[in-house]
Amino acid sequence: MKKNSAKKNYQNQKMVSQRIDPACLMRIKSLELRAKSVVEGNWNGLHRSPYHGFSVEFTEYREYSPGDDPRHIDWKLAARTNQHFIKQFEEETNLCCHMLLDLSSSMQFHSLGYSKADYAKTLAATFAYFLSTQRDASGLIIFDEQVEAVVPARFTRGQLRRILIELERPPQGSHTNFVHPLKHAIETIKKRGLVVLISDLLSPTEELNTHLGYLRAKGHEVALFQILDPAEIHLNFSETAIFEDLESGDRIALNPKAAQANYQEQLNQHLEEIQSMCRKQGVHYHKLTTDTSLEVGLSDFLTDRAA
Amino acid sequence: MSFLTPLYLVGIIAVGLPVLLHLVRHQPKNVLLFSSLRFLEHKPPQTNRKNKIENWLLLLLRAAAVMLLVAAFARPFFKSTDLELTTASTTRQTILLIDVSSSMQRGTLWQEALQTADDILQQADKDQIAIFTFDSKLTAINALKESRQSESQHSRKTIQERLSKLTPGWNATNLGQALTEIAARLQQQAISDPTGTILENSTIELITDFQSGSQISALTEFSWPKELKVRLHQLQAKETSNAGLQLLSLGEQSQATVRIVNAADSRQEQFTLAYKGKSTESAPAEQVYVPRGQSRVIRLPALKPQHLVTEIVLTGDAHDFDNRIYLQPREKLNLTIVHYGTPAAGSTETPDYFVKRAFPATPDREVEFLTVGPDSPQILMAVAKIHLVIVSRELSSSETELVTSYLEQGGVVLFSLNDANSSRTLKPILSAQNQNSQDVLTEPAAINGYALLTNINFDHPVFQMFQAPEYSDFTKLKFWNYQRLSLPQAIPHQVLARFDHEHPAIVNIPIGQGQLILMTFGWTPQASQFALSTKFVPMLNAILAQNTKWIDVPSQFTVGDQVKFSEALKATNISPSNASQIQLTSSQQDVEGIVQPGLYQVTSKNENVPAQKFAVNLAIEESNTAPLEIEKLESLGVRLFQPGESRAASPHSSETQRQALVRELEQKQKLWRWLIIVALAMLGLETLLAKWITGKTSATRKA
Repeated sequence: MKKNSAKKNYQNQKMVSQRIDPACLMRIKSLELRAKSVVEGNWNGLHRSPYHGFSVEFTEYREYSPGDDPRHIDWKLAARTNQHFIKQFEEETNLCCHMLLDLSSSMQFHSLGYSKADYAKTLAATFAYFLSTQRDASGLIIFDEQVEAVVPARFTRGQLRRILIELERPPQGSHTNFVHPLKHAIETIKKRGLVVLISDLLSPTEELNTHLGYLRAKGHEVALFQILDPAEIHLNFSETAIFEDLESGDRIALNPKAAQANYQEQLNQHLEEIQSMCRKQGVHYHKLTTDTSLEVGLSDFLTDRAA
Repeated sequence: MSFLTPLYLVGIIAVGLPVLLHLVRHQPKNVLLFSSLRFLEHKPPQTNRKNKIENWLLLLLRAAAVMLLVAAFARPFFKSTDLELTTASTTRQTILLIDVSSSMQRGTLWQEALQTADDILQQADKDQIAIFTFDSKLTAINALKESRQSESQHSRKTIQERLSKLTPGWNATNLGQALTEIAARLQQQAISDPTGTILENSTIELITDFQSGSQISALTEFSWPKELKVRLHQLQAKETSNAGLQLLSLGEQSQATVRIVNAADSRQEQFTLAYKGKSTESAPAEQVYVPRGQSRVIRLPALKPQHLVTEIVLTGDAHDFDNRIYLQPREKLNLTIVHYGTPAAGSTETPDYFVKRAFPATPDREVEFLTVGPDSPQILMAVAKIHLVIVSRELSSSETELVTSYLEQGGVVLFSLNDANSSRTLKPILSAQNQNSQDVLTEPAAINGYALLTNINFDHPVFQMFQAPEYSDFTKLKFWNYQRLSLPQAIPHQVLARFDHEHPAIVNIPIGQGQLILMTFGWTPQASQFALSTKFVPMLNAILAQNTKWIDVPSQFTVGDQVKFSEALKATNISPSNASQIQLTSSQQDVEGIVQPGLYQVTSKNENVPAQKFAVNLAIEESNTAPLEIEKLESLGVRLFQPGESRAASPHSSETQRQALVRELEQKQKLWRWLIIVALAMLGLETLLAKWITGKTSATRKA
């Protein structure tokens, strides 16, 4: 066991040394390429499935070539034909992952040249790509004040593409409302699996608590990724300005320096609430600022899950 | 300190504007889109201490500028004591304008007029009263300025007395002129009056018979002030039948042509015309039919001289003030003109041929023309009886003396430098008065072709009749030769015309009491075209008329005309046939405004001079006694009180008067200008300060 964790640590360190600056990453236009760059194949097999045993539904034979796992050679056929064939099966996924992505107006905020939404999309794409490489089923629900797009979870060839297409659609909504997407998830996801909620979680969280509880009660594993811009955390604006709420459109004139302390206090309190809620509900909570590299976030999550 | 337009002070609210601007300035300009304002508390940005003080100064300057502007718009002024004084008393003026023309003599019109005036005076007890009478002229009985002074019971009495002394005269009615003059006087008063309500507070009470013969044409050129109103008291005679007489011409043997005018509201249409004379022999009367509102011209038969007719009398109408015209036949003038020249004897080459024909006899004059040749015997004639001497030849010494003495006694001599010989006489004539006559030079002028008259003095009586552009063309008058004359400055003279802008052509030289008119050319066709031109006869007659002794005096005048006597008369008294004598001062030559119709005789102390007789008659317009339409007066702009209308309420006028005073006071002081200047200075200061502050802050930022 110790050996195992040491190995993981080593891997983590390796990832840190190789991690990509998110700013560079975001410059890559193709979401797929972005996801690929992040995944790099490092995390194969690092996740746990709630189900055991592989699916053994036969699909076809393929001639053995050196390098193939000899365990998969159909020995009966070899005995009959004196030729080695690899027996191929249609593999069923072990994990069914649903990503709930918040693309409300507040996610459009950016202080680094790319918005939280961009970051969140990349994160979702990375997940999807990663899961597809793992041959796990992945689904996507995009929402703002209502459910905007749904890609049901399955593992097929075109699934990743569908997810990426949905991710690339421009955002439309304004407010964040967790009720509809979570209800939708509760109602539609029959199979136990992983539910990943990606949002800035800046709106009130009362209903979120309830619905997360439902999800948990249904046996889903829930992970919560809170995406925040560094400017949102520190409020480190130098000049006085009129602050306009991206969702409601309200405006206030503000001297950020004067308001900084109070803001941070309030925000920390809010974050604290969310964290305690997650702890209570047994939800994996991960706070990601948009200047953190995605690998770190992902590996943290995976490590956390594995623990 | 008061304000003329205090409502503008509401603008002081605008002081909030700079304050607002100062507040708005603190609002940041840049808008920052932020994900959520949930955790943000509204904290308005604070300014630092140093900025605050500087901005306060700016704010104060701006606010002060706005306040000064507002104050300037409110037009402030300092109250003065005369404001209270003048506002206290607002008095109204009543101006009585009483018609005293001859038509007011009809029936009981004058009594009615006086009664009306009395009534008005009693009604306008507290008002200032001015009284004017008018006929052809406006006469002040109680003038406006007098009436401005404080009223007392005593002055009321004098007004009454003055009124009672008035009587209608014989003049024509010039209503238009009377009204315009009074309105103009009131306007003049209103200019000097600060309140400007004089016209509003004045009422003209017009008491007249308002006859249609009244002249109102003067009103057409006058713009009647809107504030001034006239109340018309129209008097009407009970008997409206009236006809008048006008003498059109009086021929020889007193054959008169008269016009009979019948008033439009006359009831009579049949009238009788009759001569009336000193002789007892009755002249025949003539029946005339004149329809109402029309006139007829009648030529009365000639009468024998023994009738001694002095008047023509009309009978048959109700009023006889205009039923009589006085006749004064003109007396013929006997003029003597002496020409020292070569007798013509039918030859057109002599000046005499033309000049003899230039003075024809007319019905008014007989001309005796004497030509004195070089060989003719001396004329034996009193110098006083010669009216014009013309010289066109060289004179002998005795003749020269005669001409000189004639000149010195006030005669007129026309001297033509016909030839070089005649010019020799010029020096002795001039030397009689002047020692410098030796410098007088005459020599035949060298002419290239012909010479023309230029520099004509059209203001001189000799040329006055040619003043009109259609007669002033002298370019067709060509001169083939003339004498070049050079007169020394010492001899006083007036050049009336020159040849080609150079040499004098016609010169007027006063000698003694008379004058010598010198022509440096001859008028025969050999010398010039003058005698053959249309200018010749009128000009020579104009020279004859220069002899003011024999001025052509008309013998018929209308009442009010200026009567002028001849100079020789030196009139001392005028004796009307039906009134007392009029004494004249010794040098007086005219009498202005003979006030009564009749026959007049002007006698002089000098017994040699015959008495001058003339007749004065009424103006025919006065006979037109039908009432004038009121609309005519209104159409000329005169504002009349409608029957039953009273004056404007006085409190209103006193308020407007006070406002006018306040306005004037403010305009005198003009405080607003200073306020604007100070406000501009404040704004300038503010600009400089703001610039300085921004410069300073940007410098610190750069640092």
